[in-house]
Order: sequence, then C-alpha cells, then structure tokens
Amino acid sequence: MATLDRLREIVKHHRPSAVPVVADDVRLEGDGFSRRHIESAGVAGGAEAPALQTITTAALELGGALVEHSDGAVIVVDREYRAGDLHGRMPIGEIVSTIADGEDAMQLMAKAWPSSKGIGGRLLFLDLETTGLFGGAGTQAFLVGCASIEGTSIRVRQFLMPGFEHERIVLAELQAWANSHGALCTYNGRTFDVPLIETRFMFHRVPCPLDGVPHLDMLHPARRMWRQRPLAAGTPDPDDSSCSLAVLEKQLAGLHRVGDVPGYEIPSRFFKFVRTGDARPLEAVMEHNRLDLLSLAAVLARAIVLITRGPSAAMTAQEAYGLARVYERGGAYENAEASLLRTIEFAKRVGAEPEVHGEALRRLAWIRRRDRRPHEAAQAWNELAILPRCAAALRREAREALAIHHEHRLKDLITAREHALDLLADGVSNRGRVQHRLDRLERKLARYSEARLPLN
Amino acid sequence: MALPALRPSEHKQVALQSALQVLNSGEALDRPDTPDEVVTAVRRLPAIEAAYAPFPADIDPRLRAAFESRGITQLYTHQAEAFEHVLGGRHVVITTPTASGKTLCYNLPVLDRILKKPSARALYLFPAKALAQDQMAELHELTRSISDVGGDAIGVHTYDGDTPQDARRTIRTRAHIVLSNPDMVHSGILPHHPRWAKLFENLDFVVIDELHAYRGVFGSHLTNVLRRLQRICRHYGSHPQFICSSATIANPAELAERLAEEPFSLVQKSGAPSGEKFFVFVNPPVVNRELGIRRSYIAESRRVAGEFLRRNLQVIVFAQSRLSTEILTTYLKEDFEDVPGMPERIRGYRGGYLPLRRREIEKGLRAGQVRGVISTNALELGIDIGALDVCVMAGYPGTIASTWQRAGRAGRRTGQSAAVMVASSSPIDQFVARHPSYFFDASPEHALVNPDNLHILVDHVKCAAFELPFTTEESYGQVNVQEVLGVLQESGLVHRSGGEDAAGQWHWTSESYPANAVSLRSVSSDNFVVADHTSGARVIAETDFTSALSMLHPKAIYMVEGKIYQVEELDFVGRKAHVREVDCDYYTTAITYTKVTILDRFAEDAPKVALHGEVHVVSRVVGFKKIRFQTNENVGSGELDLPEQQMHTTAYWLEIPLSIINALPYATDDRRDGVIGLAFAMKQVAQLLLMCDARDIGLSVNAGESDGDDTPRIFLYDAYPGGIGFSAPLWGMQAELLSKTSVLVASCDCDNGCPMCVGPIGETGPLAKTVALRILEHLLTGTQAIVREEEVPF
Repeated sequence: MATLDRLREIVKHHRPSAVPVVADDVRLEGDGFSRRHIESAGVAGGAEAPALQTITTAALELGGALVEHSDGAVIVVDREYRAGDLHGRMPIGEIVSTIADGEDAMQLMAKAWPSSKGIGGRLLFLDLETTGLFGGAGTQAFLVGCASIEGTSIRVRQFLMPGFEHERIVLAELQAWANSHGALCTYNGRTFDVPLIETRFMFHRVPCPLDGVPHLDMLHPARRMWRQRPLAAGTPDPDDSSCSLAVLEKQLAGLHRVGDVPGYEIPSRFFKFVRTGDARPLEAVMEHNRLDLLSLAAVLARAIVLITRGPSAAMTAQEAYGLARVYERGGAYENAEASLLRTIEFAKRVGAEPEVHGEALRRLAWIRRRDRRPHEAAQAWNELAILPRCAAALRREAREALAIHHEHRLKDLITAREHALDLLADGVSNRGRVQHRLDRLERKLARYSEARLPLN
Repeated sequence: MALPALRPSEHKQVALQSALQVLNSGEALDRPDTPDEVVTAVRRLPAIEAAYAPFPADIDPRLRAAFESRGITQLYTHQAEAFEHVLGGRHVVITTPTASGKTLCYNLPVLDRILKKPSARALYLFPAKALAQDQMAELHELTRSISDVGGDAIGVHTYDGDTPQDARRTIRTRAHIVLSNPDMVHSGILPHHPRWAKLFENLDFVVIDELHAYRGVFGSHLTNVLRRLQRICRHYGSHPQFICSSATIANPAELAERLAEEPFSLVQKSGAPSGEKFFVFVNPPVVNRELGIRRSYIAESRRVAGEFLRRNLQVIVFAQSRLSTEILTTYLKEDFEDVPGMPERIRGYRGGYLPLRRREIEKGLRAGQVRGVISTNALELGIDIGALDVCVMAGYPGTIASTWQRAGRAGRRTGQSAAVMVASSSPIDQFVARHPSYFFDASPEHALVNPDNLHILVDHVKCAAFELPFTTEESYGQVNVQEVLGVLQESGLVHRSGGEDAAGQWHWTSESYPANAVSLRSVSSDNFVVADHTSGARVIAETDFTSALSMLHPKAIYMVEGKIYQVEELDFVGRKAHVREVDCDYYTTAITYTKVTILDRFAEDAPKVALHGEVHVVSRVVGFKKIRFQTNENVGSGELDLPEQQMHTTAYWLEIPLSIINALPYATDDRRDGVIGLAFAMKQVAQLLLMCDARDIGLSVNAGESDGDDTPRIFLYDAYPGGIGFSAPLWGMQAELLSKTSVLVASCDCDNGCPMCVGPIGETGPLAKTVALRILEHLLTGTQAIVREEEVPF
C-alpha cells in the first residue's frame, strides 16, 4: 500500500470527535451562485485561503466592511440599535437608560468595581465565538463581538477573522476597543471568554489589554436571581442550562429567536468559511452573536432595575430571593432582609414554593443573627422549623439553631431538649453531636433539679 | 547520596553467608556453573572502591556551601564528568548502576544554573508520578540547604494530574524546576503552552530520568512529545539541553538520540563504591522429566526468601505478576506471622494499591520495620526504599537490564548483599538459568523505539498542529509531514492558509482537543473498557483494541488485582466488555488463527533465508482453552465466533528453503511439527533479544500448506499497528537468534519437546524437537552463523 493510502486509512479511522460536525449540505438561502469549492487533493491540489477579493465579498455579504492593515485584514460589521428598537419586548432606549443610571447596582454585583460616574457609558459588552470549547493553544476566537452604549443607542461592532493568519489584527482591534472603554461586562466571561482572549494574546506574546480591567460577569448574579428551582422535592437539581442566556432572554425580555444557529454548529460553520470563502453560513452566527450581546445588556438592565427599585420590583419569590442574595453578597444587609421578607410574602401568597420559602427563612435568620438580633433570628428559625414541605436539611439546621438558642441564650433547657429530641427523631446525620448536646442538657437539668433551682 | 552508609554489623554478614551456604548445599561460594543442578551458578561480584573528584571550580559557591553543609565535600567521578559535559553545552546521558548518585548528576548543573541565572527553568520528566514526588522531597532538602547558606529561594513543584487547580497558575510562572511526566506534558502542558510562556522562554534543561523506561510504544510516543516540545521551545526562542539518566542498557546514547533527536555525550563509568554481592541462580528441581515439569518456582522462591528472612535479613522479592505477588505475600505472611500489636513485617506492594498505603510501606522499608516486601516491577524504578540485604527474583525479569536493576535494590555501598534469581519453567527462564554466562557476560539489551510509526506520528502531528500551526516548509520526524498534513486536510482537520505559492501555514480546524484522544501508553486510542457488574456497574480496567479480542472474548477469565472475573458479554461496537466476579480455578488463553501476507520486502539482496518488511496480518480468535492454575493442565475449551482483526505492521521472517525441508528424512506431518516447534522456540529467544514483553511480538507460522508457494515461513511480527521497531533489529540479530534458539532447544532436558523449548508435548508432535534441531543445523551451516563461539552443552 502506498504511504498516502496508508495515511488516509489511518486518519479515516481516527476516533470520531465527540462534537457533532456541521453537515456538508447546510442549506443556504439564495441560489448559491458559482463559488469556488476546494478540491480535496492534498498539498498538490492545495486549498487556497480566501483571496482578498473573496474576503471583500464576504464582508459585503455579512453587511460589513473589510478593514485592511499592513499585515492582514479584518471584517468589521457595525450595527446600531436605536432607542425605539425592541429587543424582545424591551425597548433598547429603556435598556440604555437603565444601564446609564445603574452604577450603584453594578457596584453591588461586581467585585472591585470603579465607583466613578458614567461607567455605564464606558462599559464594553463582550462575547466571543470560538473554534472550540476546550481552550488550549489551538482554540481561537474567530469572532469578537463588542457592544457599547452610544447616546441612547447600543452599538454592536463585530470583528470577524477572515482567515487564521489575520488573528493579530482582530486582537489589535479588540485592544483598541478595550483601551477606550473602562469596564467589561460578559456572560460567563470569567471562566471562558477572558481566559481565552488572554491565551490568544499570550500566544502572540502581546500583553493582554483586559488584564486588570474591572469585569462584571453577569452569569453569577443571574444564577442567583433566576436559576430555576426544582419544582418538587426529588426532581434533580437543574443544570446550568436553566440559567443560560437563551433561557433568560425568553423569560426576562420575551425574546424568541427564529432560525438561530445551534451553538455546536458554530465552529464548523467558520471552518467551512475558511475552506471555501463562502461567508453565507456565517450570517446566522453573526446574528446569534449580536442577539447574545443585546440579551446580555437586557439581563444587566433587568438586574439593575431589580436592585435599584428594591424588593418591590421583584415579580416572583425566586427573583426576590436572588435579589436578597445579591444584596447580601454586596454587603447591603438591610436591603437583603427586606428582599427576604418580600420573598416570604410571595411564597406565602403563592404557597407553592417551599424551597425558596425555606431558604429565605434560613438566610433571614443568619442575617439577623449576624446583626445581633438573636430573638428575631430565632423567630425565623421557628417559622422554618414548622414550615410544611420544607427540605429536611433546612428543618434540621433550624432545630439545631433553636436548640443552641434555647440552651445558651434563653437558658430554657426544657425547650432546648425538645428541639434536640426532635432533631434525633428527624434522622439527623450527625447523631453524635446531637446526642452530646442532649447528654449535656440532661446533666444540666439534673443539676438544676438537684439544686431545686427554678427552671426558668 | 543523602546519608552516610551504615556499616552493617558483623552478624549480618554471618547471617548472609550462612543462608547462602544452606541454599548452596554447603558448597563453596566460588565455584563453576552447574547447569543441571538446582543452584546453577553462584557468582561473587567484588566490592568496588569509590573514585572521587573535587567540586568543579566554576560551581556556584553557594551551591558548594550547601552541599558541604550536608557533609558532601567531593563528587564521584561520574557526577563531575556529567557536570563538565553540561557546562560544555552538550546533551548528556548518564548510565551508572542503581544507587550511584545519579540524581546529583542532573541536580548539580541545574541548580548551579538557576543560582547563576534566576530566570532559568528546568523540566524534569519521570515515567511515574511517585518518582516525581520522591525527587521533589530530595530537591526540597537541597534548596533548603541553599537558602540556609544565603542562596535565593528556588521553586520546585510537581505538576501532574493531582496538582490542585489553584496551585497551577503559580507553578506555571514561579517554579524554577517543574517535575512532571510525559503524559502530563502531552495533554496538559504543551496544548496550553501560551500559559507556560515563562517556562518555555527560559527552558534551559529538560531532564529525563529512567530513560530506559521509554522503549517500545511509550518511547515512540516520547520522541514525538519531545518533537512537539522542541517546536514550542523554538517558537519561544529557547534551546533546552537534555540531561538523561538510564539504567544499564546496551544503547543508552543511541536511545537518548532516538528520543531527543540530538547528539549525546555518554557518561557510563561510575565512581560510586559498591559492596560485595553474591548472585545466585536457582532452577527448581525437575519433578516430571517426561513432561518437563519442574517444582513450582513460586514455592521455590518462598523457600529461598525464607532462608534470608529467618536470619533477620531485609528482603525484597520481585514477582512477575500481580497475582503471583499476592500469592507470595500470603505464603510469606504465613511463614512469618506478625506479632500482634507490632508493625507488619511482610508486605505486598504493587500498582493498584492506594498511594498512601504505598508511601507507608516505602517508609517502613527505609526504617527497617518491614523486613520483607513482595513487589511487582513497581519497585524496580528508583522509588526510595533504602538499600536492602537481599533481592529474590521469582522468575527471570525478562531482560538483563531489568535483572540488574532489580538486583540493585539490594546492596549498600559497603558490606555484602545477595541477589537470587529463581527460574520459572518458561523457555526464557530456563535458557538463562542453564546458561549463566549469557546473563553475566553478555551486554544488556537494546532499547528500541519507532517514533515514525505512522499511527503514532499522525496522532502527534494533530496535537502539534493544534499547539502551533505548521508552516509549509516545516519538517517533523523522518516522514514527509507536508504529506501527512495534506491528508489531514482531506479530512477537514487542518487547513492550509497563505495561498499556493507563498509560504503558508497549516491551521487546526476542528473543535476537538486532539491530545485527549491520544494515550502515550498505546498505539491507537481505540480501546475497550471492562465493566464489572458484580454489584452495580463500574469500570475496572481498559485494554487496547489490539489485545481486546484475545483477552476479553466471551467466557474469558480476566484478572485484576488478584480478583478473577469472567467476561459475560463483549460489546464489540460499544467497545465494552461486561464481566462478573467468579470463583474458579482456571484461566483462559485464546486460540488465535493468524494469517500473514507479505506486502513489501526490505533487504532483498541479503541471503534469502531471513527477511524483514511490511506485512498484513489478519487474525481471528477462534476459540479458547481453559488452563488450571498451579498445574497448568488443560481442563477444557470453547469455540468462539468473533470478527476478524486486520493490521498493517512490520515483521521479520524466516524462509526455510524447500531443499532443506525436502531433504529431511521425516514424514510431512513431522516436518510441519518441526517448523512449528522451531517457531515456538524462536519467539522466546526473540523476546529475550528484543527486551520486550511476550505480547509485543506476534508469531505466525506458514508451515507449507498454503496454495502455490510451499516454502515454510516463520513470521515474528510487531504486534502493534504500524510496527514499533522490532523487525529490522531482529533481522540484524538473526545469526544470534538462530544460534541461541539452537542452544535453547539442544540443551533442554526433555526428550521430545516441552513448554521450555519447542512447546508442550501434545500440542506439537512427538518429533518436533528432533526435526527443529535438524532444520536449525541446516540453517546454521547454510548461513555459516557464529554458532562456534557458543558453547553448546551435550
């Protein structure tokens, strides 16, 4: 067998990739006018990179322009979304004005956030489309999507790499944008987008412009406020997809995408473009990226509204509870307590959310304890201990707290003993500790009765 | 190097001598070899005096002071020699015996450089994680001494699968010395090289310890990992120097050059002292001459180890498998019962034990509480267990190199020690036991690799393309990488940019992470997992595709950690074998039908008897035999209907001219038996010569029944797709192969063939041995091989 045939044999039998690859016959709009397709004939018949002509055409097809530099080029697509435009049911103008006034709320959500005025106007929304999800030196960002607020509009500017050899140009454009903005807002950017960009800059041995830039990753506050709870005990804990941007934009902005490209198809569409120069499969990717950026802004806006207006703006127990968590993390304990009370109010009214209800009571108790209001904390624990359909772990925690409270603060040994006994009957996991408490209580009680001391 | 050797007390010497006397039936310890007795050889290896050299003048004074503070005021000659080579900018490989202070050979120049140039970085590679841990402990002590004498702090960290995520970032930028393994470099470091920029920009040294471990598949992968490493280093502008250390093998410099693809200087004269050592070969007595059955070597090893343990000597016993390790541990624990409340004196040790338990045993050995340890080859590598008094090998370790390595586990720098090899009844063991000179006088084996095996190479080209685009001018290995990239492009894995005429680049265009699909321990990433359904379902092992059918066919007995499982179902498409724990007294061996077709002949002009080249192997597991443990009797069989496996590989083969065959005064069937018997014996010898495992080479005999071409052919093929580099060297050693086979068969005690020479009687015909010898005789005179030099008993 000739070496070439053996090689083909070996490569063909390589382990199939776990990632689905886009089918060759991705349906394209239009008549598909004659376009050069690459003959797969190895080196000799060689695949050519899209020539300048081809990438200029691509830029036009995607509604953008080709920006040429001395050592490469980049396709730049610019879109302006005006105040009157709608994203789902949210007017862009409302998103913009909310963000522009949202400094305090953002500060509450992000760590190390600059306190200067007008940060909203200098916020850079960033979302990448990449050649893979695994990271590493071979994963590149082929599309850098940026958005920022300009007056009453949102401007989206996308930098598309027309071929691998142009990566430096894309990075240079990002660098320029990052330098003219003061802070970064992403969705899951802390673990994905920013490390990936860092790696690309390191690859080219250029200092990364995102280093040290304040960064608000909306994934974490969004999870706190909007992650779906299991509907009933026993249903598995929902995975993160319940808090994906796609779920949130439906829920918060009422956006329903039509003809959206599935995420797993995105890399292969880009590879196809690189191979053939045909940019049309990428149009859907560009739109996907733009919508992601707008949804990110919308999610931020909704979070700001909630935080600024406080618990009264929350529409569900879950939202109010998430808001409380955000306040608590940001150190705004009074607001946190108010939000928890609002959560409990919702939960009582609806009566169908024992999980949120229970957790809200638990947080309430801890916040009050932290604030040295033990009796009010005990009140919350008490409510929790008798809450119907409450998670067993929470109930046990409440009973243990009550046992401690009664033993040490109120010196009500008999009630303390009741709680400890309840705890044992409740099938607590750490029986040893409870038994220890019970033994001590019994000893104390015995001492009291010997001394014939009044029992409180 | 760390501690001054303890002078063994007088009674220890007396104990050792007396145990040896008992084993040797009271004969003198200096005596000629006696192949037919139980003790076939006792050799006395004299003590060797230390040869010292002063610290090199240009060594950093702080480093010198640190060593002096630890009581080291001079070096052994090989350590100084290695230092000079490194200082001279040469790549160096050091091969000196166990416990000769090899690690200092690389630690000295590396620490010296870091003290003089704090930006310098070094990457240490060990074949096993535990070795990196040991080395880190030693380096930490050294760096502590350095800071005690006012040197800068030197960061030393291990980086492997166990390194916590939050520590990784610090290690990437701060560690001067990173201790890792090739697998981690392959899948965790190289693919993320931008994050390791600081290391790669300043990488002055790559240290490869236990170089001899990188042979066959693992070594072929390592060459490719190092090719990738060197590409990345070029990208960052560094040119690391290699410092390698190896156990004694025949071709250390050649192996280093094959692995790193750079010229190497060799340091092989040790200046370290060693004490007197007795080396004893024991061949268990024959209990059934007819069938060629000897007393169990396990029982014999138990007796031998017992003689030493009884005299309170510290003993390490090396067993050949996990199963025999467990059996011997049980036996010796019975013989030397623990005192309640006291630490256990006899311990087992093997892969599969939890790390914590292993560390505890190692510590017990160093402290002397553990008096006897029974281990697989897991303790053969340089894990620190101190120096013991006696090494007992239950079975010949398979290679000269590894026998010396294991024997080196016993013996301090002064005083006496002993190593005893107890032969099993396998042909190799018998050959060695009956021809002690083969072992004591021959050079150790060659370590062979084939880094340009296309399967392996293609996998690494993918990884390399992911890490850094290939340029259209770039070369890689000995193959035309541009052609490989062209084929990868056909499958859409890479894309060539930059146009036809201009210098372009090949970019990775797949969303996968190629290193994840490549294991350095096998040729192809395709593997089968073994799922145990005894209680719930859990994966207990995996095995590579090539050996899956013969090991995991339905009803096969599969063993893990001494537990016995039976395969209930083999899901070929899903690459899964479902097994359940069973209690039975037999194991299974697959009966495989193999057909080899020659594709390409190399060395055509050479004498036609032996050839090598490329072959196509079709094999099919058609059935299996049940073999009882201990007695090895055949207790049943079964038929199987399994898919065929095909493989393109390289082979050595022997073509027995029809003129020889036709001249034999025997019936056709007997002639066939002779060829098959000869093949059986040849495979054993080939294994011996190639320093490889039984499963590394396959055997196929075309005994002259095929259509058209009647010439009988014996194929010894590389049992890995694409070949792993055994065939050409085997062809080169063919005279030795035939003469050693002749010696093995001729000197065997049996009458008509046995498992120790031409195969068990009943499987080969009654005349197999005689005919095989006649064929060899013709072949040897025909090719005027160097048989005269060999002494042939009888």
